[in-house]
Amino acid sequence: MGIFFVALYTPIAVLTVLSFNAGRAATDWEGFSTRWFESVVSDVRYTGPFWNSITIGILTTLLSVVLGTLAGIAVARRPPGRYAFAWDALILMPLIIPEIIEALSIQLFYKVAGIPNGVLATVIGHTVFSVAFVALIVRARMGDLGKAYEEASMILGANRIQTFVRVLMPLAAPAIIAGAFLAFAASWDDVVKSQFTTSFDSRTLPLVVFAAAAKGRISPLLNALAVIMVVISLSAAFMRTLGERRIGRT
Amino acid sequence: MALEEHARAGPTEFLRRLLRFVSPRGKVQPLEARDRLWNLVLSLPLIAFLVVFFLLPLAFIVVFAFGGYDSLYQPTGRVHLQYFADVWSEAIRNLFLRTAYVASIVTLLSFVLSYPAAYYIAQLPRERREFFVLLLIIPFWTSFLLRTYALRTIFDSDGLANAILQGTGLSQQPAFDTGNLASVIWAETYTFMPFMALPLYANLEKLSRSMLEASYSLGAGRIRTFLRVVLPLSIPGILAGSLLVFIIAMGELVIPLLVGGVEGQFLMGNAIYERSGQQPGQASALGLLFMVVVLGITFVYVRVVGRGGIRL
Repeated sequence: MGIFFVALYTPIAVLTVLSFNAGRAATDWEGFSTRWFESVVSDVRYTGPFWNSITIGILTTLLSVVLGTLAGIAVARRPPGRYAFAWDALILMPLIIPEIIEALSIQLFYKVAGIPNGVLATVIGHTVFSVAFVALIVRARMGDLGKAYEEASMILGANRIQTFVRVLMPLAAPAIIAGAFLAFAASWDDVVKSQFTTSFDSRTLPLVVFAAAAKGRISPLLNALAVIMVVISLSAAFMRTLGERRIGRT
Repeated sequence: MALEEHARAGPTEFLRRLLRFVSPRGKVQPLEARDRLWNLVLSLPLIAFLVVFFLLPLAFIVVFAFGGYDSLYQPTGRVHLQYFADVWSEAIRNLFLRTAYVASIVTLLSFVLSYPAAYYIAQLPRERREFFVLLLIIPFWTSFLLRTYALRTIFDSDGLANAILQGTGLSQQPAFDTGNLASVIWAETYTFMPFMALPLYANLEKLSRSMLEASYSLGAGRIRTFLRVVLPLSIPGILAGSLLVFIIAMGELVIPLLVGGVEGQFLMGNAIYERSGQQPGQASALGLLFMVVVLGITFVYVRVVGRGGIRL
């Protein structure tokens, strides 16, 4: 059991240690140094893709939050039935179908429709799976709350839009935040969809790591880059946990 | 005012008051339909988005697979089965079996490795349980790409593991290497293990302590209790975890590319990936066959485990 968790965390721990190694080889420790981090943050080969990843991640999150919150709240209001299952299937399918097939399908679609690869193309591709996280978490949260708040608001004279904006959305906020960070993390880590939808100028950080690693280049520079990426993912995870804590409290 | 008093005001007035009560603006429209309409308005953006950017592209796979477009992305205006004929070869059938074989081994290994951990966590007191569950979830947040890359740093022929073995004199020859099918299996097992451990834990956690006590007091030993009580009761969790890992492992593309070397390229995901550029028709035909298999498995999964099984 202890071994299970040690094994789960060792690789990332090793990467982190190696990224602070002054030397180049993975097998020799030549002293502590932050030089690889300095090289990464000043190297245009990495900074360009870094900002692409951030831009795509944020746009994906925004789009997912808007679409997922509206739909998540709507479905929570609906009594479970045939439609609920169809909705579940539609939302979950992007997570179940192998990503390579989705990526291939969106490539075919873009080529036929004449949509060029680039930031927007990738944002759309990522939102297809990211939105599921927001919608599912918001639905779960609103389903737990029941219809009492909404009914109270309507009886007190608010109309549907007021009820939605002033009552339902604040209630859903912790779930929206939790979902948003998941959506961002999913976009931030994605390789396959990005591979099929980015142009050279809009390529993301995972693609850079992937290309270098697939060629067999393992370098302390990549280690440092990996550590930066993990730190960003984990910050998102941490924020999400905070969001969940708030769900627990209210 | 009592209900009868409202009713005495006459049927039209009664209806009007009733509607004003349930819908403050008092528009004369049945609540059911209004509610449904509002739900539709709210979910329409997402449904429209997924239809256009998810279902429609999937439809293109079908159209391409049946020859509706050629490899230059021009419509052909006819339908043929040539692409299916192209990919329905001995080699591809073997590839399919090989992918299923790899996914099965990965599933089995993750089960064997994560069951003890899940069982152990489920036995812990509540506060400590939450901590370990968090530990299980965190790997979801660290990119699998980076974890695979990290594995290579450690287990490559000139990686850390071999250096430690040789440095301590435990082994003269390099014991580990990547770039083969075995390393794909290990890397996938490592990466997908939490997908097994979480459903197992969710299931084992519900296992009532009194079940175990009943079994003990009726004279069964620890091993017998485990085999006859715990294991059968955790079958839903095992099924959920197994099918989840199996499906994900079937479609995995990046891990074989990173650690699989030449051997790892002969898997389904990679076969589709290779054809996606120059031969979209063949790639689509292959993808369609593959998707039918995966959705078939998922259907069985949903049927067996129940809809509650696919909760994230």
